[in-house]
Amino acid sequence: MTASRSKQKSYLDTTWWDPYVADITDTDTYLRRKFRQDVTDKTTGLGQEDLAKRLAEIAEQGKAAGESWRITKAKCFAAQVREQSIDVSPFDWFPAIAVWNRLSLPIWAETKRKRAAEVNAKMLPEWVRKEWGAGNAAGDWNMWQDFDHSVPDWRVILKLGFPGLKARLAKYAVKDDPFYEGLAIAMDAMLAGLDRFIAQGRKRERGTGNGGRLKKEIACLERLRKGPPQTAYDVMMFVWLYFFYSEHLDGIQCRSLTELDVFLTPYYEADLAAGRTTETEFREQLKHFLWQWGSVSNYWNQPVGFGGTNPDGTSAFNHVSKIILEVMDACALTTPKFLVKVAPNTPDWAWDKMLDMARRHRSISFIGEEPTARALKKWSGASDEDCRTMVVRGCYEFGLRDSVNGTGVGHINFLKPIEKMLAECAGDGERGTGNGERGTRNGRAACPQAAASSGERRVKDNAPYRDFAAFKAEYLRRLADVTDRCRKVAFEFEKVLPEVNPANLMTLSTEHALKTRRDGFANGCPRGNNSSILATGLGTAVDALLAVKEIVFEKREMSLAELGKVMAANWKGHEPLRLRMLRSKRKWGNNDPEANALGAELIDTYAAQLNGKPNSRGGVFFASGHCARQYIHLGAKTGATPDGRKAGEEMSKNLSPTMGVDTEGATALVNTLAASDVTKLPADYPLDMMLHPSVCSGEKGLRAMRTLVQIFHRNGGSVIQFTVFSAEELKDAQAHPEKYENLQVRVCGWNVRWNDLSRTEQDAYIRRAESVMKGF
Amino acid sequence: MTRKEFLVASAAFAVGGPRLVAAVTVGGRALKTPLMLDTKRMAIYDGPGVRTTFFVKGCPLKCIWCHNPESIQTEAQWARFQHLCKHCAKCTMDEATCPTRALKLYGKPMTIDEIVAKALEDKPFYDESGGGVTLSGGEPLFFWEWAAELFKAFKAAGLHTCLDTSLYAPPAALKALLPVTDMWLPDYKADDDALHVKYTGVSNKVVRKNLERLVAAKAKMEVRCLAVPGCTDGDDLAARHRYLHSIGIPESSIVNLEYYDYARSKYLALGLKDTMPPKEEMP
Repeated sequence: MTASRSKQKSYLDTTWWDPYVADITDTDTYLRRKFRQDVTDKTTGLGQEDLAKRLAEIAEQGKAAGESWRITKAKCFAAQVREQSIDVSPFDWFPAIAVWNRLSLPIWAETKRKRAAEVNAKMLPEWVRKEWGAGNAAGDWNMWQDFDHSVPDWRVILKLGFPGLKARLAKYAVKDDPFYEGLAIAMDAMLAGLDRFIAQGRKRERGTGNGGRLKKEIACLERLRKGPPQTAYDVMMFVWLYFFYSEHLDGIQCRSLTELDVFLTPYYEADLAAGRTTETEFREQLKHFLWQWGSVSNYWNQPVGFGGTNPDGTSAFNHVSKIILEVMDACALTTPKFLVKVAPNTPDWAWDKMLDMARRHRSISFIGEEPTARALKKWSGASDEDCRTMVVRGCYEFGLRDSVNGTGVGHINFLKPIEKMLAECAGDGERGTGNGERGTRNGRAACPQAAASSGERRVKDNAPYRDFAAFKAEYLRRLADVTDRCRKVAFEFEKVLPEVNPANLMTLSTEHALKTRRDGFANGCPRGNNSSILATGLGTAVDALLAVKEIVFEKREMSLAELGKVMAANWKGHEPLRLRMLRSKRKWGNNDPEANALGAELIDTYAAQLNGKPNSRGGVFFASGHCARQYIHLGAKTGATPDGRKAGEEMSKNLSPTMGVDTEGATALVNTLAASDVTKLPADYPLDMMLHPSVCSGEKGLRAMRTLVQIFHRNGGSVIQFTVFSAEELKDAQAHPEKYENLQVRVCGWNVRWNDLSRTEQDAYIRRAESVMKGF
Repeated sequence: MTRKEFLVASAAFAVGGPRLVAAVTVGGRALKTPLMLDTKRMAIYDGPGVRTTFFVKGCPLKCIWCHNPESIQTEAQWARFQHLCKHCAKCTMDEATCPTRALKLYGKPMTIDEIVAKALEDKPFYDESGGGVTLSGGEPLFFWEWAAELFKAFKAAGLHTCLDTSLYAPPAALKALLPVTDMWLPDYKADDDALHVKYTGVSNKVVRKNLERLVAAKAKMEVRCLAVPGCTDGDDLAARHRYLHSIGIPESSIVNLEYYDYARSKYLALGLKDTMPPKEEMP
């Protein structure tokens, strides 16, 4: 370890440990540093900071001229493509661009910040802005306008190529319509960008005399300038170009890099037959392709679809899948991550290879084709073939290939209603709400008993909740209410997405959008653009409710008012009770029948407010079972809870148990998740599972892991991912970070370098690992 | 609480703590019933497939290398792990509220119905992987009549059964268990009887006879041979293989187990003398 942790800019910065290299002289360093510093030829154009200024000028000019924002944004895109510094390096099979730093993309400054503020202030009703901000401040939820979960229909656009996209635009374009005018500006810029790369490649070829890789790269770019991809390398280059054009320059995430083996196979086989490439060269190109995202190192890990079933029902795993897995294995990157579609037809060799990689910390998650198909058929009317071409579009999310420009707009805090109810019972309506409002939302009075009792012991008097059923009913009512309000806010603020950040590239790649004059990202998908709302803290909420039941209604150790006061004091003076509750086996994750049933009730209540209800983008809302990093963010905004959690501590993530409380082992955890399924949470139904190395070593370990995956999928789970570590290993890694530079652990839908985690996060992870092997 | 006070309290608990409250009766006669030590789900080295292993508390042997010293005594025992204990002077002998998880109670009663219900929770995993349930210990055959009743219940529930045993048991035990045991996982700890007596406290004659009975009954088995450095490695290990071959057990049914001395903290926590040989060969 050479860098100090103080150099880490924020949790988003996952490359703080990798120092600037002034003079790059080898391929591996070049690939690693490519999106961690500017590696372009400065004589060719502007750097990222200058581009930010340039975009600000264009935006100001557009505003002064009263220009359509769609045109102005297209000009911003075009300016970056045409004016940024670039390079075509002999070290790399792919070009380089000036906009390398994903943490400060120039386009975000103009759209997500300035434009969003203007549009939202002008176009959103006051109640929306007020409700949105209040919920975020109080920790009821965390909501934002999302531009992050879109995927082009690769099957179509790879057949068209860039010139084909231009021709298709011409077919639908209407003269003097700013909508199509903006698209034309973006389209022409993309082609001009190709010309620039070709010219720079020729210049480098002359300068370096490197006739091998550069020649092939220039030829590839020339082919793409003239038509659709012809070779496997062309496909990789096209995906590279589209991704960076869209995500870094147009500000719309591209959340998949195709189903890589499925898409590359026919091209690679044709290349081999024609003698255009060799396996060695293909492997090298793949390595470079994966390293582009390895270098970008976004914390959510760039998803790649993989495997699955062919439209004719046969397995899509083949010899190309094997090559790709081997290359990915050798690269040992945290990102991209492979979201592997598995089914009963998945061959044994693929299972063994992928599970072996997963237990060696490669970034692989297993998505079940059968359960996801059930969800797609139920909610989207998908056919069998639709399901087989299902696309991944996020950490765990999936969807139909022609309607995957989705969003994740809000994260509901499942713990907040419990905190508020207990605060009200303790006579402290202010504390629970956190945003200055009394605990009287929706007309309910704060618990009258609490205000009157003031420390008086009333174990039999828990008005207004005469029993746990009444307490639970009120909790469920509030959960439904907050989810409903979240949905209504999202419905309104998503109406203005195309005004904030019109998606020129995603529109160019969506024929239905061109045909209907709709924004491809916002509302132009043929089957609608869906919106997900995500559940945060489900497991901890189940634990907390059961703790209320035990303390107040079963053992009658204290009243709700007294428990509320204990929570307000953050358990001070009640450590034995806190420890007892924390260590109770009556928790989500231990296959406790009561916890399972309660978890199912929470999911049903939450899902009923969302699934299938129309959004404002021609699609519907879906409930999601994952929560990204919000289990930390919303945990910090939530007071102590009766399950033993202290104020500010993280809550459970995704559908997983609270960290460290699932002491019954992996099978109990899988059984717990059978309490519900992906048809209830159709955006995703994920499980993060930590395993001790002893239960997944050797051939028997592979079989055991496969059993876990298959039963989880059979029970209706959609995605499962593993982290395999012993607490001893993690403690050693904490003590000796220099020995573990490449150690990866699962955080939430993505892998992260161990050394990128804070000490607190590392400690929590170690506690989790320590609990993994506990028996009864 | 001082170490001495802890040991006194622990001993008192062993006398007055959980007894064999769930004793099974057959024909009006109460069977010797163990306290349960642990349940290990997703066990993958205790027989084929994914399994749930139940550990009984109580063993007639006194192996010096025992890695589960808490499994020897039949009575419940408290352990206090010294490396975790903060000596906070608030020791309540309650593992649920010990701030550092230094306290652990070994030995809890479970009825046969409870054990079977627990085992059935993971039946889909057994069915998928070809697994089942394993009874281990301690020594399950120390409670052979109870074990036979338990295995009958397992079989009635459609579960594959494995028995992890030292085979130090009367012939009646084998007779009772053979019809309900799908796979035997016997230890063969030392071929030299003097060594066997020295290191386990009992003769291997009973064990050998029982191994031969299992072979005669064509029982499916995997014999485990632990090679303890300086005690039962080297010549004795080779002799064990020779003997096993001689009675008709093929090499494919013999597994050599590596010895680890990771259980020292448990000896200390239980207040027992640590008898484990070091992992490295003794000089």
